[in-house]
Amino acid sequence: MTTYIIRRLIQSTIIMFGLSIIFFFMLHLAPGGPCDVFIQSQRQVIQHELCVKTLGLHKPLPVQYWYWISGYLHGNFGKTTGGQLVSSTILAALPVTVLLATVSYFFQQIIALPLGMFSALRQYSFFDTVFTFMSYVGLSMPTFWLGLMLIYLFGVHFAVFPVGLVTDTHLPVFWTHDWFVALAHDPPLIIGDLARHLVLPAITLMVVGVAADSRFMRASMLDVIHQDYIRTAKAKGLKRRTVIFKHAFRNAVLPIITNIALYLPTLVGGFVITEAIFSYAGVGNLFVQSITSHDYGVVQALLMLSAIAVLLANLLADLTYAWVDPRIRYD
Amino acid sequence: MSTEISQHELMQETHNGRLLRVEGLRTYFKTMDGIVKAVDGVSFDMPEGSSLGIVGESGCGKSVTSLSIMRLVERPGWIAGGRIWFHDKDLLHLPEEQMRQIRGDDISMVFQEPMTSLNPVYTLGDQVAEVVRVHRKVSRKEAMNRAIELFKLVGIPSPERRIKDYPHNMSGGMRQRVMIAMALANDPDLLILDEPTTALDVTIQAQILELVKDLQQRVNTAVMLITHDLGVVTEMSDRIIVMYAGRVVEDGDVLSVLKDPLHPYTKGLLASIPSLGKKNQRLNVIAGAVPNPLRMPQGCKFAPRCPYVMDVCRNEEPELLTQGEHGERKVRCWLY
Repeated sequence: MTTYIIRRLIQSTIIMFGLSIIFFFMLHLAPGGPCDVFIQSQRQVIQHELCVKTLGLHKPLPVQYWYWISGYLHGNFGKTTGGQLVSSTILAALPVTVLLATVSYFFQQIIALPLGMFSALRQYSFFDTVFTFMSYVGLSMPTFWLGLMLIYLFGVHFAVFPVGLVTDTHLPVFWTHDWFVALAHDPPLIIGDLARHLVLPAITLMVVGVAADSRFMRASMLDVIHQDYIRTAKAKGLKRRTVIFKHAFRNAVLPIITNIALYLPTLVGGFVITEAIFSYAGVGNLFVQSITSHDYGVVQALLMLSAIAVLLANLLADLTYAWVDPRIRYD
Repeated sequence: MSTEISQHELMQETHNGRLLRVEGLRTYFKTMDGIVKAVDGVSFDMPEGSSLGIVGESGCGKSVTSLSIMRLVERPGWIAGGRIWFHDKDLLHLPEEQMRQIRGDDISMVFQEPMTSLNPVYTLGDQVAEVVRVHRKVSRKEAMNRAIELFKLVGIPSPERRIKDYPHNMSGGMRQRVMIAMALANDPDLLILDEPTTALDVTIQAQILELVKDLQQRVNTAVMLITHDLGVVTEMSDRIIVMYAGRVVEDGDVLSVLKDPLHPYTKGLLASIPSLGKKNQRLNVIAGAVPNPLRMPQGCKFAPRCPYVMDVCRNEEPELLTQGEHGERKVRCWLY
């Protein structure tokens, strides 16, 4: 098992190296650059040159790549165009995204798995038909449109939820020292505020996932309940509950585990759109801003970060799989 | 039909130790093209501790009959009629909860496919102990000990270690032993074996059959063996039922049926067993194929393939009638 993990980590490192080349050159091949703000008028030529020199953009691309990647290997992730550390910029935005991810992902599974399961157990029933219809609606709905509609309906028209931002403007910013102080002082107020701001973005992010995962669970469950061992379980005189939740469920979730992990890349894309729509100050929002301002350092770091997340999620899925399915052994 | 039932009533008086009685069982399946009558009026009796072999080609309804007894017929199938008496309970009219308590306790079943009939994600010990615990109030440890005991009974070597194994660690023959252990866990009155050796190698087949035969004598369980192999029935059962197209066509004790088959279908089945001694002999086959279940012939279902076919056979279906002075044999054929 340990050998397997080590082997996979080595493989991942090689993949990351390849990806870093692609990320780097892709960005630099695109027209424009971080110093473009200074070429609006003739007077700023000197400033533009200064900017290019400071960021080392006049050097050949391979040399620039070398500086960048060797910096990473030394734990130096570079600076933003604004002069701040890339690492601290990202770390400041990360808790917001982690919060959004955890909450939406948790509820996505909590909703999707039972939905898919009951749909399979009542195949072709009224519930199943309605659910199938709804999930196709959910699957085909663009995230940005759903987000805008939710804002319009629940944020503006009914005004039940706040539109945008992570916390109210009169409250301290999430995950800062002031915020923790406020949390200790009045937990219901702070948690409630956070939750109210979280509802709409989380739903926006969840809908496609719920639709996809529940369809997958339905198919998997349908496959499992027609297996011979389910008939055996019934022939043993087990209660229907036991047959479904003990014998069918565990086998049905096996393929879902992979699905959940492989869904992560889609989720990264979802963050970018959702956070941008809701001006939710997370990593996705930071990503959009950095692209608009050609902030190479931040964009590259975020790309690397999501690549690592995807690779780790895959490894985690494989390990979980071995843990729940006794037939799978890594040695 | 009326004569059929009266025959059963006669038999009931002679069999006081009756265990199971199937009366006019009909199990149908709904398909896109119409209703398939997989089992259409099957009747038979089983005394306590007896052994019965049900023989027939694929699709003749023998497996569906056994699933109907367990009430495990799944949609789109349903039991359309008939009665199944087990001791003095009418299984088809029992509430599901009571039926559940019978399954795996009083009646248990071993299926055809040992490779897929065990749950891949639980240990063998867990799966055997589970059937003990669902019907008996015992602790987890006691159930595990019972599992070890059962593994010994069915001849699984080093059972203490094997209970911790998963199905994929075992061969097909060993898995079938586990299935048998599971079926015997609560000392059932009736053990149904649905083609228990079809998926296994010949040598393993012999071992499993030997095991069942041995167990039958030791635990005094009535055994219903479903197979397409006449040789197996000869070895294992006292009585034989031959099924064709969802009906019983012949019913009698094994020796007399084999020595003197009455129904042309039984004759054909016996003739089609290749004999080892004779070389270069063409295999005897029953001409034609099983009728399409959606377009059953009007009269006798075997008429299109029968070498003795008469005009009456094509128009009217014969009933299952008693033959012989003592009423010990039954056949569904116009010849008698």
